[in-house]
Amino acid sequence: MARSDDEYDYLFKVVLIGDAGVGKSNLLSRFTRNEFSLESKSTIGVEFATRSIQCEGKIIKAQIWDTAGQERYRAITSAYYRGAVGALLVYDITKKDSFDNVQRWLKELKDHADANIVIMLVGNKSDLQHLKAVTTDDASAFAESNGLSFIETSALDNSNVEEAFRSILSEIYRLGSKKALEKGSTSNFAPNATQTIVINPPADEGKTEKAKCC
Amino acid sequence: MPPEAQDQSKSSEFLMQSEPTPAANHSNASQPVTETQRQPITHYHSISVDHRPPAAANPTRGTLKIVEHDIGGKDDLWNIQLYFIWQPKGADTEDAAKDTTLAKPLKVSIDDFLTIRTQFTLQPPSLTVHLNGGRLLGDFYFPNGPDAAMAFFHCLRDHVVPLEMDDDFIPGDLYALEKKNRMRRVAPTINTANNGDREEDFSDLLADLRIEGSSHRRPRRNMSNTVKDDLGIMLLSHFARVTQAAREIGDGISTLLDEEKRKKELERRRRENAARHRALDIHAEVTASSSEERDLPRRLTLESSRGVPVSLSVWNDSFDDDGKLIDIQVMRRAVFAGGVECDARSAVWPFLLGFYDWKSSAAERLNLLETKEAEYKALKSKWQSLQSSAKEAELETLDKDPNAVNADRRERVRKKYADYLETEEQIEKDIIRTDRRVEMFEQDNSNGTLTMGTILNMYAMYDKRTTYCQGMSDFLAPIVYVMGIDDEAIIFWSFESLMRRIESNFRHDQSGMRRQLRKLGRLMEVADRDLSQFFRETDPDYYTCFRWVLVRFKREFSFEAICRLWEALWTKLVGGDDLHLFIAAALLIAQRRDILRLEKGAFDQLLRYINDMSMRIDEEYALHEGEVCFLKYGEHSHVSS
Repeated sequence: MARSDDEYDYLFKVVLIGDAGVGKSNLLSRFTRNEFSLESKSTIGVEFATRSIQCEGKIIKAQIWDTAGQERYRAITSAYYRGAVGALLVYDITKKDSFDNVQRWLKELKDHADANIVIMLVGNKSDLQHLKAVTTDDASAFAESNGLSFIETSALDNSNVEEAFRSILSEIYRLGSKKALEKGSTSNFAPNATQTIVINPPADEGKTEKAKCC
Repeated sequence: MPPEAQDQSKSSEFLMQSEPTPAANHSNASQPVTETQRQPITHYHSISVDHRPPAAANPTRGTLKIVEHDIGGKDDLWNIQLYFIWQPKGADTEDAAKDTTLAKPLKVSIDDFLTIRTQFTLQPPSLTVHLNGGRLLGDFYFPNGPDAAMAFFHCLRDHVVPLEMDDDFIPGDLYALEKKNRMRRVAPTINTANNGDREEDFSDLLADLRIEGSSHRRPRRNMSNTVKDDLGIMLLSHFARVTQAAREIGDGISTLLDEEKRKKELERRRRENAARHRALDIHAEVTASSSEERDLPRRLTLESSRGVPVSLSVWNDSFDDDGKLIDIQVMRRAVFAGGVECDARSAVWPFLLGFYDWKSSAAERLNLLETKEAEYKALKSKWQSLQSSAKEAELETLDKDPNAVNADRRERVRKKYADYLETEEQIEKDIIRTDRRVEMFEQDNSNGTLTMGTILNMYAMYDKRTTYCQGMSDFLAPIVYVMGIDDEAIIFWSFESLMRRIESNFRHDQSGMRRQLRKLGRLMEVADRDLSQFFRETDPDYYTCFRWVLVRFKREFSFEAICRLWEALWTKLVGGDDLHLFIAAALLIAQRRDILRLEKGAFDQLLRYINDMSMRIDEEYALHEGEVCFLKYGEHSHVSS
C-alpha cells in the first residue's frame, strides 16, 4: 500500500499480456490488492488497477492494465498499448504453448507499442513445480537473447509478484527518468497524442491517506 | 381462476362504492365534514358489456365501469387506483351471486393489465385483455356498437399509456399498457387542528418519504451515500408528481370543487410548493456533500416494480388444442415485462433462444426435437472420434523417436490436430472460470462444467468459421443452468440458435463488435449531444462499453438478474436485436452528470467509471430505461441505419 493516490512523482502505465489463462488478472489483483481469486473470470474488455510504490525516494504510481488473452480480441484492444511504458509478458510454466507464443506477443508489442517499452518475461504459476513444462534455463536463455528481463512468479502463493512489478517499475524509472515529464502533462489517450512517460491520474481514486509499506 | 387486484384490497367482492378509505377514516376522527371522504369517481360506465371468460364458450351479459378509487393514507397525495369492474347482469341480487353458473364479477386494477387487443370493426366490437404475467382475463363485447367501445378505449387512454405493438399473427390492434403517474383528483385530507403548525405537517410528510426511501428491497454497498442520494431523487420525483397533481386539479377538476374546496386547494398548493422547495434544498445539499466523497457510481434502481413473471401454469394455459401459442405477441410482451418464473424457464427458453418457432404446433416441435436429437447424436460421435484422434496425436508427439521419417509424420499429425487441441485447451481454461458461484458450476469436474465443455467443443467443431471464442461460455452457462444437464441436444441447439443471433460478436476481425459500437455512438449523438461530444474526445470508438456489448451485460449483473435481463432481450420485442445498445445508452445518460465531470480525453477515468458501474444496476431499471430510450430514439434514421 502507498500514500494517497494523488500524491506521486511519476505515473507509469504497464500492460499485462500473454495467452489466455496464464494468470494475468491474478498477478494484477495480487500486486494491487494482495488478493488471489480461485473463482476468477476470464477478462472481457479492458480493466486496470493502480498502486503506488517508492523507488529511489520517488513515489511511482503504477497503473496496471489487463485485457483478454485470446487473439481474436487483439484487433480491438490496440488502444490498450497506447502510452504504455512497460509490459509484463506472462506465460504459464506448466503450458509449453503459452511459452511458445511469447514470440507472437513480442511481435504484437513491436507492432503496437512504443519502441522503448520495457519488457519483462514472467513465468507464472511457479507453485506448480511438479507440472513444470518450461524450464527456467530455457526461459532465461530466451529472455537473454531477446534482451528481456525474466522472473518466475506465483500469484497464488505470492512469490516474486512484488519483485516482478518493482523491478520493471524501477527499470522504467531508471531508463525513462531522463525524458520523463513531470506530473500534469496532457493525457496520452487523446486520439493524436504522442507517447509520454507520464500519464494522467484517474479521477476516482480514494482520497484517504493510506499507510506506507515497503 | 378469478383475477384479483394487486393491491391490498384483494377481494373480488363488489363493494367499493360505499367503502371508506383509510384517509377518510382519519379525517372523520377529527373533522366530521364529508368533503374529504374521497368518493370513488366513475370515469366510464356502460350497462351493456358482455364478458367471455377464458375457456368459456359463450359470453355472459353484464355491465362495465372504470372507477377511480383512492387508496392513499394520510398525506399520501398520489396513491390512487383505477379499477376495471365488470359485473354480470343480475349478480346484484343475493341469489344470483350464489349462482355459480353465472360468470363471476371482476374487479381488477388497470395497472395489472398487460395488453389489450381491440377488434372494433367486428360486430359486436370486442376487446381482449391479458393481465401481467400473461394471464388471459377474457374477451369483452360491446353490443352497443363501436362508439361504446371507443369511449371505453379513450377513457383507458386517460389513465395508461397504450403502446401499439406489431402483430402479424392475430387480427386487430394490440396495445401494451404502460402505467401513467396518477394523482388524486380531490384535495387531500388536511388535519385542521394542525393548521397553525405547518412545519409539523411537512415534517410528517418528509418522515414518511424517508421511511420509504430507506426500506428499499435491495442491499447496497455504499449505504449512506446512495440512500441519501436516492432519497433526494425520490423527493424530487414525488414532488414533481405532486405538482403535476396540482396542475391537473387546476386545469380540469377544479370545476368539481365548490368555493370552500377551492380555498383549501389554494392553501394546499401553497404548502406543497413550500415543501417542494424544501425538498429541492435537501436534494442539493445531499448531492453536494455526497459528490465529494463518492467513490462508486450511483446505484441505478427502479422505484416501482415492473410486471409479474410468467408462471408455468399460465404458460401451459397459453396453447390451443394443437399446441400452438394462442397469442404470441402477448406472451412475448409478458416475458419482456415480467420475465419467467424459474420452474417455467426450461419450457419457455427454447422459444426465446430461437430453437422452437413461436408459431409451431406441438407436433412440429416433437418432430423437430426428434430430428435435432438424432443430428446431435451424430455430431457428438463425430466429435468424440475427433477428440480421441487428437489425444492420440498429442501423445505421439511426446514420444521421443529419433527416426527422422517418423518425426516428420508426427509433425504432420500434430499440425492436423493442433487447432483442435488449442481450442479444447482454451475451452478447458474458460469453463472452470465461468459462473463459479452457481452451484452446478462450482467444481472443475461437476456435471454442469463438463456439459459446458462438451457443448462448446462440439460447437467449435460445428461452426468452423467462428469456432470458440472467449465470452461464449458466459452465454452458455445460463442455458445449461436453466435446461438442466439431461437435455444436451436442446442445450446445444438452443445455444446454436442464440449464436446465430450474436455470432457477429465473435468474428475474427471483430467487425460485428465495431458495427455495434458505432451504432451506439450514433445513438448517443441523437440522444445526448454533450455526452456524445465527451465520448468523441475521450473514447470515440466506445471501447469502454466493449464488455457491455460483447457479453450483453453478463458481467454487470448477478446470475439471477442476467437471466431476467436476457429473457427480455431474447424476446426481440423491443429494439429487435439492438435493445442492449439502447440500454447501454440509457445507462450512460443516467450517469451523465458524473461522466461529464471526468476529465475530457482521459480514457482511463472513463474506463474505470464504467467498469465500476458493474453490479450497481437494477436489471428492471436497465430494461425500463432501455425501452424508454428505444421509444424515444429507436425510429431515428441515423440509429436504425
